[in-house]
Amino acid sequence: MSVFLLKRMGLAIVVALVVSLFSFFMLRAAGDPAIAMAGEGATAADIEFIRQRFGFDRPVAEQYLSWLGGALSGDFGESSYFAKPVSLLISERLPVTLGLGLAALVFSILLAVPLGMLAAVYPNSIIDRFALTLSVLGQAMPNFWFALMLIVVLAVWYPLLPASGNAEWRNFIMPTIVLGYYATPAIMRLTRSGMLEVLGADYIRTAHAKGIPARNILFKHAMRNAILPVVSIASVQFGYMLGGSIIIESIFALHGIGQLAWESISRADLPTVQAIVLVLSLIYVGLNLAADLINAWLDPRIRIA
Amino acid sequence: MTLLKVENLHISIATQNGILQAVRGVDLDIRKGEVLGIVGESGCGKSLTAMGLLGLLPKSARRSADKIEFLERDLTLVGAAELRAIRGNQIGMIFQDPMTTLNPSYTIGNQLMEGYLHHRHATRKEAEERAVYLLNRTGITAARNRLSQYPHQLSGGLRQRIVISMALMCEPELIIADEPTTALDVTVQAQILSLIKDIQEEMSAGVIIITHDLGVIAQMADRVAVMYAGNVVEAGPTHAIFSAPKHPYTAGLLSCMPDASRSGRLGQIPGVVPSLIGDMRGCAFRTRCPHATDPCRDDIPVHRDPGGHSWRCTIASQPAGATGS
Repeated sequence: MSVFLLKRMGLAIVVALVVSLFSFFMLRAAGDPAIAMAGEGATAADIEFIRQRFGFDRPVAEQYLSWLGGALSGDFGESSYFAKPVSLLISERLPVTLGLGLAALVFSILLAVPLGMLAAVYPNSIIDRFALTLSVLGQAMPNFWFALMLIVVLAVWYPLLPASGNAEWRNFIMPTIVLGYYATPAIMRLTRSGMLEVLGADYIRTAHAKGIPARNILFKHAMRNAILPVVSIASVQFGYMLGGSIIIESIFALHGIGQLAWESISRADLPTVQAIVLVLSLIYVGLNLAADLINAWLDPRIRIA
Repeated sequence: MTLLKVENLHISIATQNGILQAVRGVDLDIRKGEVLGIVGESGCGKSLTAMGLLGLLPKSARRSADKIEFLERDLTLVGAAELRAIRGNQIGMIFQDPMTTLNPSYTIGNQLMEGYLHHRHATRKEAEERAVYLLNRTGITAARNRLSQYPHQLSGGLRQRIVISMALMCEPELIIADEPTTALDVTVQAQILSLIKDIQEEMSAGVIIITHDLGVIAQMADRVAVMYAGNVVEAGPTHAIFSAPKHPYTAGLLSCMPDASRSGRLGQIPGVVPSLIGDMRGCAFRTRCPHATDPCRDDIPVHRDPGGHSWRCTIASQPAGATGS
């Protein structure tokens, strides 16, 4: 187990480093950052000032190392737009996005896993058809359209929920539904197919032959094996939700990190964009690591090689 | 004392091409302390028959029977809960492939003790002692340490010993072994068979052993039922079946057995098994039988001799070894 853990963590660190390299150099490759930050109508002196102010005149490798060194201690430099430390901006915005992502993940798991299991236990039944319809709808509907429809119905026609802002928990209900529903089809279909496969396995027949009640077989013998691929896909979906919440945050005017990223890109706020890309990637890497660890805990074949 | 008596068992499976009548009126009986071998080709319905007895059929299968009497209870009449109380408790099952029979996610100990804890309401300590006793009994070394191991850490032979131990946990009166050695190495096969035989004698349990291998039957069974195309075509004491087969199919099967004292080509039965979809009248073997005549298209009588030997054929007395050679 400890060998497995060390291997996975080592791999995660390598991936994180590569990601930091990419997030740094890709943005540099997009053009001269000083010109982009200075904006239209800037004089040569302005550009030169910015170049020196943000250290763009130094060699790229040196810039990267000093940025990385700062990032390791939580210092991402200063936002060129807000004139505030980027780390402060992120620490203000990240909880909103993480909270929304977590709520959406819980929502989609609570919806998808039980429905997927029921669909597998009763294949081709009414409940299976219902689950299929729900997942096809989720896949076919653009989430911005679904978000607008929800606002029209739940905020305009029947004013039950606030349409925008992040002042209180009720603000998060609609974004959670939209974002969570987006992840539901994948999780549900995978739960169903995993469960169907496992229910046909020999060891399920063995458990029946031992006289174990069907409910115990379902929850003990079947679920643990069927849930493995679901854990992996759920972590990937959570990553998508964090990155993909830009649209949802814009629609519902949630001041999350997605919205900050979008605004910072249009403001050419390079330090902020760079930091957001890195932080989201690190979260992504962490999620994958967590999924690996959960799967190892569930499946002894991974744990004890 | 009769342990299990099956009369007129039918199992059909709905397929895309129609209703597959896989088991067509099987009669079986087995006494306490007896080993009954069921032998036949793949697809003759022998495994389905065994699964059908315990209600372990796939959802697409339908079972009907005049009677499945186990210890004076008719299993066709008992409810799901009562059947569950019999399964794993009074009837133990040993399956074919030990690589897939055990759940990969739980320890050996957990899976061994599960049924015992459920049926006997025993304490964990008692269940553990029983498990260790059986692992020792089935020839597994370091038995206590095995309890915390997972299936993937053990070899096929060890796993089959564990599957056998699992079937024996609640001291069943009847053990159904479905091709228990087919997936194992030849050297391990012999060990597993003699283990089953020893334990059967020790516990004086009834054993139904299902196999396509006449060698296994010769080594294990007191009585044999030969199945063909969903029906028992011949049944009787093992020595009688081997020395004087009455049904042309049995004779054909026997001629397919390798024999070191004989030289020349191994026998084979020409033709293929008929489709089991839809109704069938007459003898299912007639298309492959060298003795087929017109009466074989009609209903086939069952002949019995005083030694408990019975066969389903138009010919009342069939010379041994008459086909396939």
